Amino acid sequence: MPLSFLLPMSLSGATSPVAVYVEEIQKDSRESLVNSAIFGTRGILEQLDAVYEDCFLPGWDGNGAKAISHDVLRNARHFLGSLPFGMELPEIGAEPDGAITFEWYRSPKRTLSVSINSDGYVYYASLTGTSRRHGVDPVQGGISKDLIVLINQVLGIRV
Amino acid sequence: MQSVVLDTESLARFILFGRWIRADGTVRQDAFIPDERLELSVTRCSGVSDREIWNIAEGIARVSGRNLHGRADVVVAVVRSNNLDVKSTPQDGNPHHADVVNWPIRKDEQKMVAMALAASSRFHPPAV
Repeated sequence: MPLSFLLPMSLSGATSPVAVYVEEIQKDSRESLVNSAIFGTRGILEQLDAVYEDCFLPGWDGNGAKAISHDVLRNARHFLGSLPFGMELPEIGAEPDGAITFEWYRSPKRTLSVSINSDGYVYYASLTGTSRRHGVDPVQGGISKDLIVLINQVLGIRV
Repeated sequence: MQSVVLDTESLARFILFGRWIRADGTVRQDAFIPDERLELSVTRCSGVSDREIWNIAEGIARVSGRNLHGRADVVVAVVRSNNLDVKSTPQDGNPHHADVVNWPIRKDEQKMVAMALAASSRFHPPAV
């Protein structure tokens, strides 16, 4: 009879005490980074909640804007959580169709905007001088490598 | 006001959500994304006094219980150069109301167009 059911088990499925310990250490490290002033995303998560509270009723734009739903908020949190550590954090906004937006900006003609809609997709568009790019990614996959490259281009970061 | 909207006219997009304005006074593309009916609500400025435009904006803000942060003006020719059109749609309380129509169906394409409009727009803070 296998004895593995007696061992502590983590969310990732790790069963040995060492694996569980390592996972706990990693979790603590990540939480420390999230809370840190330099790398932290705590502030942006608070901004995200503020945008939701400002836009959770229809007509928040003074016209016919759709309310931001819980699904959109959850998807936006998931997307933010997938950003690589150290990446410049975006400005948060909202669109009249009920989307939450993340913007990386240098100038009106050097900018990238991501929309998180309720349909489970990430829609993005970017201007980099005369170059225009736009596309769609599934939100469940987190931020795509292509999108990271595009953001770095807009920010003028060579990788 | 005539129903035909001329290329030379200016359109005002009222800003009642503070995050549509960047710290440097430029306008985010968010402000120019159409609603679910694929219409962008604007007000025609040509032949109308600035005071009347602001009165309309303040009236909308009052009725909706939001703060007026300003307006973003864009020229009709720029709208049409992005394959959109402008339809005169007067409303109670805003006889100069119009809708920007003919938006692409795909959201990422809408964003690309909205980005071009935002880059060409000019922000005006509320008149004191």
